[in-house]
Amino acid sequence: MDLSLHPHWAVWCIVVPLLASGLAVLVPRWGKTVGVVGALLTLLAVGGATLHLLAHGPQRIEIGGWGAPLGIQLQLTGPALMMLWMTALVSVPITLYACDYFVTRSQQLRFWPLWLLLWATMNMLYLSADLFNLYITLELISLVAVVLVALAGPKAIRAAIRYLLMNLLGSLCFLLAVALMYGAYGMLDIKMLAEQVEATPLTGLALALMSIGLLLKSALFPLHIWLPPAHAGAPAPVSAVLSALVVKASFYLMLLLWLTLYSSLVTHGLTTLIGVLGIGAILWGSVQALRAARLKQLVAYSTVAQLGYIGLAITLIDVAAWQPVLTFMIAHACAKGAMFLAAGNFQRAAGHDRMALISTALRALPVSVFAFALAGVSLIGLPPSGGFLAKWLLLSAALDSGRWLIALALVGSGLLTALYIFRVLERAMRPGANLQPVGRVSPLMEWSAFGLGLLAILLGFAGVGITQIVAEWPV
Amino acid sequence: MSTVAIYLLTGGLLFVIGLHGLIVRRSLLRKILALNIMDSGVFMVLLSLAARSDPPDPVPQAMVLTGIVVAVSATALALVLLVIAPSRYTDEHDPNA
Amino acid sequence: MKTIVNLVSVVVLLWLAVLAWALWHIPLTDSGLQTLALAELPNSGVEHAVTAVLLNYRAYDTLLEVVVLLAAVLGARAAGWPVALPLNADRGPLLPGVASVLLPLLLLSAVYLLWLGKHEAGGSFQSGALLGAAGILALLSAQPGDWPVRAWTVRVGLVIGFSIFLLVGVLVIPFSGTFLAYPFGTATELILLIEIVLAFSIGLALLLLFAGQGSVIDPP
Repeated sequence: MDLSLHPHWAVWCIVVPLLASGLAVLVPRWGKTVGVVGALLTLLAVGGATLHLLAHGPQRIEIGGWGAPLGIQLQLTGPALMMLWMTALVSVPITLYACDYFVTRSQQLRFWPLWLLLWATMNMLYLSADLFNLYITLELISLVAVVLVALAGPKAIRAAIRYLLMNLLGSLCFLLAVALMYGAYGMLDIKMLAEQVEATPLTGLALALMSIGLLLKSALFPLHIWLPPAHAGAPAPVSAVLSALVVKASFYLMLLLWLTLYSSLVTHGLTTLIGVLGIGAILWGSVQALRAARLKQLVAYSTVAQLGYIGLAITLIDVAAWQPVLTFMIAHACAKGAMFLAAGNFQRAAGHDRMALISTALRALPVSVFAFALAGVSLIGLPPSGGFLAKWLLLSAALDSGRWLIALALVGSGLLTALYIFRVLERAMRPGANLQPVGRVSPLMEWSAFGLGLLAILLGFAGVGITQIVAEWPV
Repeated sequence: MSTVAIYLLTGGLLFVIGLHGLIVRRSLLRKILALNIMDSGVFMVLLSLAARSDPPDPVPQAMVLTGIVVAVSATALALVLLVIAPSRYTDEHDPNA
Repeated sequence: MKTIVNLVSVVVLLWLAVLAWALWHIPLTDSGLQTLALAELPNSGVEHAVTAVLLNYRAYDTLLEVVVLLAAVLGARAAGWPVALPLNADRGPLLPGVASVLLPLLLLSAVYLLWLGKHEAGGSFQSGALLGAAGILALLSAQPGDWPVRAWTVRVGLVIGFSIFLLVGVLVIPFSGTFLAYPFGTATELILLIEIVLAFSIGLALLLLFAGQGSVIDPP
């Protein structure tokens, strides 16, 4: 009997939030406690997985002991670990925030099991190395995310249905591609498939189907139409999770498949197409953010724009692979999480989030404004933030490979971001009457938003560690 | 042309019919049904892949069983949301609805 | 509008052509994982290959699939799926009569299908589907107040399937060294245990997706 825990940390990253979710269903009264303890234990598991990776290098866990190709494998790699950290870093403050955000018992009862389930599911996706298993995790993420959107009440249900249909279509494209891959190669394990994949038309169609499906889920322009209503309409902690984490899970998966499975098929033309879509996303998202009449809409359109950067980054995967994309994703996750939490505070205090009347709420909540500003610094890409580091990595990769146009787009779009960030911050400076608060914003809600904003800045200093881990233990 | 090939192509056809319905139909209920037809198309492809050998390959068959449960769950959730959405809307305007 | 529909049709037809052409190129002689799956069958603890895939080789998929079902139920509940189905007080004589004949048969078939999974087509999902149908029939033919079920029993029933599955998966780690790897010689028993709790939870989940939680529990 071997009772040592260390080889199984990756499994605990999945099992802990899943069990906590079950417990939250079973004993609704304990929801908040289970949520906070579950979040901390999951963080601990991610820490354990980090130590394991640092000590022993990448790990493949044969679930059920069958090994590939018959069984399902988990793989703990540098990029997977970064995604686990991104999720944990954003999720812990969101968990604390949600403790005070959901006031009524019935809201608490609904939120906690689903929230822990969503976290478990995202960890499952990052760690899975099996195509069909990845399909189930994708579907699971969609279902839970849709329900969380619907928590906002009757008005959000239409947005939730549209979100669901789009996501189901994306999953189905992915599933058909999985079937084609199984038909062509007779196996599902990514690592084994990567050694066998040839550049045939059949594989090409599978690549196309998977990419379309995942791009739908990642809401890359022009497949983004479902995102703003869903992200703007959801309750604040949910908006934060959706914008910061959920859209990135499918981007991560696309990158994983492109860089391993289909590395022989991903051509310059394909990445260029994604880059062009990325530029479109940046322009369209920024303009819509500038025009948005509501604060949460503004933040949601900012997500559309920022996802465009990931598209731009994908044009550089041939020279820079994982590092800039992952750094950008983590920096954006922290910043966008902080922004939505802060926006939730303003909305709670003012009873609405209309840009025209928001300035009283901004003046009343200086800590949240500071959190919003810190997040804004990172989104714009000013030093020393995580966003700066990510853009710097992208910029140097673009310049080293002589892609001036991409470098230009990177610099220019920073200005657009600054415009819509200042559109909010400027309203905090306006003089006017004092706020008659409609709802209570607790210190915990303010400081958890602030903590995330601070993380987005501090990442600028920790980013070197990220790039090292990813470079040393690639997929 | 072997039987398996016919089933494979039929699966592809079902997928595309569903896709057409999903895009063209405006009613949400029809869209959900269209997604189910697409589901059936993929399942048919998987089952014909299983039927390439004798006895059939159990892995795609198990994938279909899993896929069915996933599809049932997603469909049920979509239908629940669909049923709830209009009734809530009407409730706001008409207390007798 | 008409032109858009036509445009979509053209694009979809093009898709069909590409897809058909790709499907045409799938090798029809490849047998996938069939050889391997059948070769390992004696070590899987069951005699039916599909059950072996579902509950042993790829048990993790099945675990996730139960979680999907649970997520749908939690989702329906969170979205406010009717607290109680409007039960019809005047159902006529037919429904209770049919139910009294069909219910025992359904339950018997569910148990039989569960047992059958070991060596034939069958298992927890087929059994769970029958249990769900039985539940719906019982619910439709019941009088209001016929369902004296406590809320906590419904919660236990919902999570018991996936939590027992998950706990078995974790508790075998010290013995076999891997998540969800049944120790030598215990596979048959553990699979049977998992199938029983799964069938129960799946049946309940399907019932709740049909009726909403308030229909089966006692109003407080």
